[in-house]
Amino acid sequence: MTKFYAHLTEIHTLIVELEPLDLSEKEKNHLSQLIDSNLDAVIMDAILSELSEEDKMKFLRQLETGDHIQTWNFLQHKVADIEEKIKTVSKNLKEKLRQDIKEAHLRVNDKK
Amino acid sequence: MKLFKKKNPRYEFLRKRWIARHKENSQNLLDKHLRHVALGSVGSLVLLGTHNVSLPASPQLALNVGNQTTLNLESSQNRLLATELVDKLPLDNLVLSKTQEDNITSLINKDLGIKVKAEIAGKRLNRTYGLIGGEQHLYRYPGDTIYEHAKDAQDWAMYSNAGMAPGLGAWGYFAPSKEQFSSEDDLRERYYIAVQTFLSPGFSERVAEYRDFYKYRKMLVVNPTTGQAVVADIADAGPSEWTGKHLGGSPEVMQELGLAGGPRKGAVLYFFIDDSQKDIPLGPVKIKGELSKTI
Repeated sequence: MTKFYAHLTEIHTLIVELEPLDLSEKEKNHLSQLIDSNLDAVIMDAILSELSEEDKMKFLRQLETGDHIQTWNFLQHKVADIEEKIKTVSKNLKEKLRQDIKEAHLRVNDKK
Repeated sequence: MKLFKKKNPRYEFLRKRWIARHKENSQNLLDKHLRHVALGSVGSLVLLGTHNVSLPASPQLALNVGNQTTLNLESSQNRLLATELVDKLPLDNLVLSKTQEDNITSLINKDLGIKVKAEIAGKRLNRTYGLIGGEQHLYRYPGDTIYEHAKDAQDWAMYSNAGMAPGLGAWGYFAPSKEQFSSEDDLRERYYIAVQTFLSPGFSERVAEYRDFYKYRKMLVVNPTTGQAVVADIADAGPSEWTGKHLGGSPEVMQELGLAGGPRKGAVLYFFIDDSQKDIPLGPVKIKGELSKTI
């Protein structure tokens, strides 16, 4: 199922940086899933940090329905600028992952 | 002699680093927001189940996640359909008789709960059982790129290799601009099939009428070997007869049919869906054994 925040997270620039790593299909799939899992965790943390305890439960129940429109209606009603907050944490994480990819290149080259 | 696989050091580095990051992020999530939530409550279950807080630790796990391509073999009505179809299909050719079509559509209705037909309003395709091949992504609006098609990183990894078709689909762009591109348009491209509209009986005499009939018409495509099924829409015409194939599926359709690997082709059943109520969504069809629909 498409994640409800998919339209806010641009990932193709990060994926492009994985291409030169000479990965097999399995390796590419696994790393891609790790990217998604990390992104999911930081975005969920960003959202839940803005909600009261009661609203957290309401949000999670709403999420379970899979109705993205209602989920966004709820969040936008409860949290100001929620979309910008999600974009910010997403951008910060992607920068860290990008640095990791660079480090992967450098480490391997150093060992040659 | 013991054999061993050479490890890719870049992959190993990133795998360990990103698993560690994920563990830290997940622990943070649990500590900050779910510590006080009782075990078994909806909060923790939704987070852990729905949002990948559980960790993809190995490549093997990663291969079977997402897009609901795995079937519960013990309770799946899809699997039941596959076993019931074993003796209903011709062995030496792919052309179904009227009796065979009627038997098969009845089985699909019974097992998947979807009303399908070989013919609607006097119109039918040249066949209902044929070889499907993998197609490429279609341009959805002016300026569309392969990068825009990926919903997330895993989507990219699974579907980007198919690339973009050089031309437009049979009906042109799905939307006149990116701004007007809707979720319905998105699903239409995602789960599209190309069928041999031009080989339909009566097509050449009434091209405009048939074009309107086929445009985004929903069809159920079934892999009879596994019972995997997907509700798809007709968004392109083809393939040419000389290819030896009878229809084409988008990368996502092929994935949901279990035909995305290897030669990317296989024999499938395909029927029109009676969707007069417009309530049958595009995408994979997975029915639980207790007949509760998961569509």
